[in-house]
Amino acid sequence: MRNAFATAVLSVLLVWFSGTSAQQPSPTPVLTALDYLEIEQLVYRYGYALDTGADNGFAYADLYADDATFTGTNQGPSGRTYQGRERLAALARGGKRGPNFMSHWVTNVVIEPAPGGAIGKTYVGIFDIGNGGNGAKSRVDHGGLYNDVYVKTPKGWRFKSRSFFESTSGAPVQPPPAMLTPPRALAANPAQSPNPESRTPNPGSLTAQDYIEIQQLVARYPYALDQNPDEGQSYANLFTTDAVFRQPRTEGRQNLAKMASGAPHGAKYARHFLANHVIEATADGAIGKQYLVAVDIGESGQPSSIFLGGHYEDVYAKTAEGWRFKTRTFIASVTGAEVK
Amino acid sequence: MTSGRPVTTALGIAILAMLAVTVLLPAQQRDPVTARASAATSTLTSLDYIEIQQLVRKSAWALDSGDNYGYAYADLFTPDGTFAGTNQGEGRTIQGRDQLATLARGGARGHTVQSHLTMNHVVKASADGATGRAYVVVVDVGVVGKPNRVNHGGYYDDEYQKTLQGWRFKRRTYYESKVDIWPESSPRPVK
Repeated sequence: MRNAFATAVLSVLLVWFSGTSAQQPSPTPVLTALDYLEIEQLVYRYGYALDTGADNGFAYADLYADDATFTGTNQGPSGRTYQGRERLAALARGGKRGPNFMSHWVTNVVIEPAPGGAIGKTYVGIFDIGNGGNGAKSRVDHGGLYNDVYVKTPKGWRFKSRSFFESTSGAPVQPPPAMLTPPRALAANPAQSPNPESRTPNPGSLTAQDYIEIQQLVARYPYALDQNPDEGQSYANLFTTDAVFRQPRTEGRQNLAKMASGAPHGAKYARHFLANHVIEATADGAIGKQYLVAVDIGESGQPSSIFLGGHYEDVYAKTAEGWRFKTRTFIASVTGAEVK
Repeated sequence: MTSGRPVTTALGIAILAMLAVTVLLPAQQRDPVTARASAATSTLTSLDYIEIQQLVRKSAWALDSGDNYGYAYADLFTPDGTFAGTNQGEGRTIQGRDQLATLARGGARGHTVQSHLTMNHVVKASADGATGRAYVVVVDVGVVGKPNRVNHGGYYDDEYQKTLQGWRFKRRTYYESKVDIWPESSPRPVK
């Protein structure tokens, strides 16, 4: 009896203590899969709120925490910072708006836990589509990068700060010739290209955490390539040590780093926009594919243009360092007729 | 019962501790962040979100590739699922597996066609599944003899339903992007 009571006391106290420690905010929280997804949803709602200007701009303002700021580093010589619900709402009321207007296309969302919440970065392509319905041609207007700080408030995840950086290319580099000749003939035998749809589905062997980590791996790819802060090291480290990239065929981290450094890059350069990332479990890991549109964002008032489009086909492996590319193959878009 | 007193003490400690817990637990449940998340996603788990994301992304692949004679696209819809293109004349609604497959067979198709880029996919739990919206920009890239360009774009308004085969489109409506003013009388809330 006494033992039973003692156990009861002990277990109850243990629950109590664990409860107390959970109450104290940890400096750097662990983000669950749902946290990642909810932050991603916040990042995606941003486009709708800003482009539509809904609720007189307050739909946009309410994506921010109370004391939060937006900084447009491209506004004026030293940038401009907006703070407060009214000012942020006013920002979302200006310019081109409408219930159906879609302009801010956000992708490559990278999220990391940070003291007090999370930080993140995304690419943004700012399109001009359906401008007044007057037949004006649709185009990429401009674009760049968002740097974010997120905080979990009683209403959910919110922006604590968001800064926009216009894409700017760095010092010119001479790309390897193979990177300039992307088009490839249509595959004679479609069976040669790995098509996740045609494989035996093996659902359930990837957890939500696996999906998130693979998505984060792919989302990091454009930053490592376009910004390349460390002579290709962070690019190479996205791959397994025995990985193969095609085209040009490149093996091993040293060669991958070298190849990445041959591509144009700069500290605030945004060029590789990825979309439609699908992932499928396989017996020994996962495969996936995603679209690429490489956009040359116009600088100094020059028009933007699409450099090329295509898709990547990937094999992912779970290593001690986390999910990595085992193979990654780029296949350029080729179509004989104009897409309707 | 020689140990009546210690048992009483143990009981007393346990009751006190339980009281502490009962005070604490509701406090945690009252935590609006937790409460909000569980209310809004009561029927959507992390994997539900991910599978719905995957569904929307697969639809772009299926539409551009025309895989399986368009049936890869058709099979992403429930048997009674519909697609409506509000930009097609007066607006056209397509229903039925064969009709949806035909839609995905038209135009330029193949594994090197990358045309529909979906982004900004927001998802919300609803009474009978989930609803969502995604931006879509349609680009012409790699078209032989033509410069790459943005063709058009807009957004999809979706209803998703969980079937035995997984999440499927019950209803998908495409709206063309346009600059407009908000109707004074009917401000539309954003999802």
